[in-house]
Amino acid sequence: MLNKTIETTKCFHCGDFCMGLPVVFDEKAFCCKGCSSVYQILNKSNLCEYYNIHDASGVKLPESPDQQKFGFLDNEKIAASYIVFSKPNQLAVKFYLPQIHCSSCIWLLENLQKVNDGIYFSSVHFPTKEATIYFNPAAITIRAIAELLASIGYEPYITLDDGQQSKRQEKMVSRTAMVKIGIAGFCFANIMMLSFPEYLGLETITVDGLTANLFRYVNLLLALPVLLYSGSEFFINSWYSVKQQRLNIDAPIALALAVTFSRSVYEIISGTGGGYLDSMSGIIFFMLLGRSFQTKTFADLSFNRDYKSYFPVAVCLLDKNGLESYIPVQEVQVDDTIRIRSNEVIPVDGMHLLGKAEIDYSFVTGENEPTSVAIGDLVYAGGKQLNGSIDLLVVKPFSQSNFTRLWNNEAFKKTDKNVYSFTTVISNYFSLAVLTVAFSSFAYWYPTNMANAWQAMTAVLIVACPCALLITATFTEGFVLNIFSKHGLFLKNAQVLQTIATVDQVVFDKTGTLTYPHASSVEYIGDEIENDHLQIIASMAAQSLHPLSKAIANKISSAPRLLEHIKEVAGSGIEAWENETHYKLGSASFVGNVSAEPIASEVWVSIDNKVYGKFIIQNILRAHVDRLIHELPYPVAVLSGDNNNAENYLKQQLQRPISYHFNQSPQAKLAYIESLQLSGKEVMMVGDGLNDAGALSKSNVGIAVVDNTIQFSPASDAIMLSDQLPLLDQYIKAAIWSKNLIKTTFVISTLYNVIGLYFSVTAQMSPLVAAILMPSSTFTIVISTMLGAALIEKFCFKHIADLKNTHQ
Amino acid sequence: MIVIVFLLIISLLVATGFLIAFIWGSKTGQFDDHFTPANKILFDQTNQPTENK
Repeated sequence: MLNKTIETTKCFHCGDFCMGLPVVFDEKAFCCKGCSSVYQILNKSNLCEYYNIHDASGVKLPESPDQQKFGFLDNEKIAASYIVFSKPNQLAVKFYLPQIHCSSCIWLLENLQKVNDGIYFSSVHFPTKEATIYFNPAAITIRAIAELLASIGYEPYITLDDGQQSKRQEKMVSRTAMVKIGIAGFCFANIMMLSFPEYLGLETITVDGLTANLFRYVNLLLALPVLLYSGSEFFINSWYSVKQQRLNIDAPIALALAVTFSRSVYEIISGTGGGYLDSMSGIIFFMLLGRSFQTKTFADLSFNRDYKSYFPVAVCLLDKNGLESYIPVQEVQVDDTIRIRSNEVIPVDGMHLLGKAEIDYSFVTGENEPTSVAIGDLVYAGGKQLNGSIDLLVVKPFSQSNFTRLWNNEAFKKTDKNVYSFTTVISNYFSLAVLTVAFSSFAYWYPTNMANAWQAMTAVLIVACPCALLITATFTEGFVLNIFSKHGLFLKNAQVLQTIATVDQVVFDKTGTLTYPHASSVEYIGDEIENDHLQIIASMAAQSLHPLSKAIANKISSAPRLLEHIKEVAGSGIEAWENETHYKLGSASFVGNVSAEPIASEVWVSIDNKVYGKFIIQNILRAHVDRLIHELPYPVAVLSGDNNNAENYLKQQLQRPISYHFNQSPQAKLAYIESLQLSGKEVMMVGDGLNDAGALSKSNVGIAVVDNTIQFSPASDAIMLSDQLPLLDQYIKAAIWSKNLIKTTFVISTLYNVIGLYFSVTAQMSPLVAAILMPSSTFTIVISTMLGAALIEKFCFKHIADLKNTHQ
Repeated sequence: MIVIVFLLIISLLVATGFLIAFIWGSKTGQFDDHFTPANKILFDQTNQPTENK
């Protein structure tokens, strides 16, 4: 009776399965009103081609779209920051639309002019998920455009951070980097071609008074842009590292480049040889290529978000006559009256004046249950109003609010994770070894052969340049980053990969991370309730916004009907009178069962003052999470902002000793991570909500779990798709193996270096030997990292589907 | 032998032409978005209203 029946009809618009009765329009089934309304808009404008490009490509509308949400765009000052182009009768506005995900989206968004005549045309930039819309300001306002986009499922994402748009652009592999690689590659190839006479020993042949010397000067000319433009970043970086007295891998590379170039110039001008310009430009080309490969960026993901992105951009201000206007949130003054609408985050502390305040403080405290606030009481910034709109009298201006203070706390500021990467450590030893060999070979030759001494020393520096190490690390990390993102884990940068490999303690958030955020198991214990009564109870639950009622309403599948005589008692429950029967749904004391212990996740039912039984609502663990916890070879802790109701359930499901911490505020979570770190642990924190943000940034590796990449996650080092969470142990394993892979390939490249060193120390290094060694070592490295990464993918990653067979 | 010098100059000129084209392409952002233009070309022209389905 309580089992939910799931219809297997797929929504024509969004492709989700329709729960319950589908909404039918035009003989097509839709899962909700929102989806069918999008279809109607598109149908009216002859845009149904949208559905032909990609099946069921539509974006679902939020449950209760807020009509006033974009009201603030009427404020010219705010709107101006989104205008990217303006001339008489034409403006262009750029919006970030995170819902863009396929070719259908592009097609629809570039045909917006068919929906509204005021729009001239629009263009989509897919990697950054931005749309630029050119329109006639006399015919349509910016606000109307934003509302139009929202009505077809592409709601613009607008935050306080005005710099967001430029940040997304920066994250793309920059155009300059691409040009640098292009120039280096061009010059490298041409220098190699012109060096053929050298390789074949023809450089001394003179025909018609022309020598191969001409080629050498052309080479020199070609090498200049490579060294001065493409390779400039190595010199700049090493200059900074010397200034900060911390040697990085760029310093020995810059030294090797400088020595190679000087020696080549000397040889060419003195006519004694052709130099090593081919090797030098080749090295620069491959290193730049490796770096751009490694800095694979996820332009549409945001890793460095601070609390401001969760705040509304503008607030609705009420003047003395009760008229609404919108002002930027920074301009809110003390004693202003502001109106907060349903589902808006409260940006400033204020006194509750009017309306019914049901505030969800889960951002601040981690507690999931909403708090009711009486008129005249204080409402704190960071809470989210759930039910209808409320009016507040501002008591503190924006920047000094409670919430802002919390997040501006020193501990919450992301300190530079001062981790010496594995590559940096090795490169330091390596550079030291190379310098020792270089000077000792100089010392060895100096007494007998001055020329050989110089030659040997410079050749050592050229051959043993740590560029092979850099190429090794960058290519391996690039490949592994690719594999990770293919499997649903997006790393902020390659450094994170090396940190994951050193983790020895894992901390999980409970609600939303280990458990499903919304789905909960509802169990009924007690006397059987007749079907008629059950219908009423479901309707009562459906009319309340309390999360527990929602869970119950979802569980009892029935078409809810509107009850007239219903009363919600804040913090206790709901009661209703229907068919001359008195129904009560709520806490034990509310229904009159005084003997039962008050437990927050239990909802009792009474009909005509007879207690029937209780619903037990429990967040349920994500599938296969028990396997993950079992497999993790590190100590595990669970932090939760909720009360300890779930402790027994968790203990029973996760059969291994875990330290549980309940009732944790965001600060307490952060403090816990800090205490682990003080005891010498490398901590990985896995969380999902803003209340984990402090802990995520404090931990050595913070992983934010999201249901889809459209969703906004707190600042973190990595973003993981929630269905991949059970595979976390595999990611850690893969990270460790990729570190081993770097070591292995490093050994290979060292072998090449030893061969090269043999030729150098004995002063037999010819350009031909250099020209063979350099590319062959690079290719060996690239191919072995590629193979290694493929092996890691094969052996470390199992698919979720395979888990079902091996476990349970 | 002089012909080699000619070839050298010509080959470098041609290659430089391509290099300049590449630099111009990157600077004007033609390599920024590999997805949108590639898909746009496959969309049917729908200047005339299509039949409702």
